[in-house]
Amino acid sequence: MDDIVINRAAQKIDVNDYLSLTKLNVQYEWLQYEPEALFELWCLSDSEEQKRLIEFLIHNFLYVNGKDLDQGCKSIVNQIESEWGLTAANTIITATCDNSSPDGSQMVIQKIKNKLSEDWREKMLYNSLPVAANTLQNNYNIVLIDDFIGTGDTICKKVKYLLKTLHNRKIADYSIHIVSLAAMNFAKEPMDKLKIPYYSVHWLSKGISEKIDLAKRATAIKAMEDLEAKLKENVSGRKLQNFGYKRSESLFALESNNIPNNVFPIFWWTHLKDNTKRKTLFRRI
Amino acid sequence: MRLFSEDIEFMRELYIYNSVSMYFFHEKYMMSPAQLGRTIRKFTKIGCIRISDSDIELTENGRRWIIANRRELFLKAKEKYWKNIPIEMAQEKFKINDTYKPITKKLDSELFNLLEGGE
Repeated sequence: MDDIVINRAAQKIDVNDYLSLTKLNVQYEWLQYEPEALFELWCLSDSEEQKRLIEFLIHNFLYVNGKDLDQGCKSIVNQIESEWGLTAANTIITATCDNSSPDGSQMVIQKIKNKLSEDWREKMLYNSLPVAANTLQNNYNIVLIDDFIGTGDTICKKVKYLLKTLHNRKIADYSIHIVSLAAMNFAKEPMDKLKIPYYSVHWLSKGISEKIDLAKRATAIKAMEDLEAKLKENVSGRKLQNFGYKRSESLFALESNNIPNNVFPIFWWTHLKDNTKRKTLFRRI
Repeated sequence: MRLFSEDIEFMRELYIYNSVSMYFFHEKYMMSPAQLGRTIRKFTKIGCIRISDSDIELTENGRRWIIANRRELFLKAKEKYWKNIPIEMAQEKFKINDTYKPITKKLDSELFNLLEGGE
C-alpha cells in the first residue's frame, strides 16, 4: 500500500466533503487499497443523510487484515482445543467447501494449520466437506470451519448434508462442531435449531436495523434505498440484493478475499443504473 | 520510508507554517483525500505531526525530521545547482519549431577538419 502512487484529485471537492473523506482515509488504511473508490461512493450520494450513512457504515465495518486473521485463527484453535477439549486423537477439521471452486473456508483452515498443537497432523485437516464426510469414522469429532456465516442458511445446509452422508454410511457415533471467523447475530437462530455447539470469533449486528436508533432508522433505510436505486439491478445474470443477500446488512470484509454477498452492495456492486462501471472498495466474482 | 511528491509538499508547507488546515493541501496542490490520508498516517506514526480536528501541526520531532531530511525535501532533482544557468550566460530561449543554425565562426574548426577527413 505504501508503494502505490495515489492520484491527485481530478476536481475541486467541497471543504466539508473533503474533510470527512480525509478523516476516514486517515482512520482506515483499508480504504486506500482502492484509493478512488471511496470518493466514487461519496459522489453517489446526493443528500447529507446519505453521506452520514456512508460514514457511519464505514466506521462500523469489520475489516479483518492479515494480523487480525492470525489472531482470529488463534482464538479458533483455542476454542477447539481448550474450550471444547477436542484432541488430535479423534478429531478431524474440515473446510465447508463442497465443490471444486476455492472459498474462504479453505483459507481459514490453511491459516489454523500452524497454530494447532503439535499432535495434529495434516491428514486430520480437510479442505473439502464431501471428502471429510466420507472419511469420518465412528467415535470421531468433526469441526466444520468457515470464514463467514451470513444468514446461516449455507452452514445449516452443510450440516444437513453431513448428517445425511454419515447416516448413509451408518456412522452413528460422532459429534459435530462449527467454527467461523465472523458470523451475523441473526444466524444464531437457525444454528440453534441444529443443536450442535458453534463458535465465532466475531459476532456482527445488522448495519442499519440493529445499529441505528429507532428514531433515525427510517431515515437511514430511506438513504440506503436511494443509494441502491442508483445501482444497476442485473449484472452478468446476477440480481442486486437490496441491503445484501436476504437483507443481511453485513459490514464485513476479509483482506484480499471475495466480499460476501451479505454486505451492502454499495460497497462492491460494479455497475450503475446507466451501465457505467464504478470503482468499488471491495470485489466479488 | 518512500517519500511521494505529496509527502514532500506536505512537510515543506508545515516547515514554513507550522500548523495548516487539511483543506489547504487540496486547494494548493489538489491533493486527494486518499493522498492526504496516507501522508497524515505516515507522519503521525513517526511522531512528526499532531492532528487536532481538521488542523495539522508540526511537532518538534517533525521539525528535527525535516532538518535531517532537508536534502530530499528542499533540494529536488530539478533544483540542482548545476542545472541553473547563470544570468550572464543565459540567452533568449528558442521558440518551438524555430530553425537553428549555429554561428560556424565561433565553432572549433578542427571539428570540421575531422569530419571532412572522415575520421
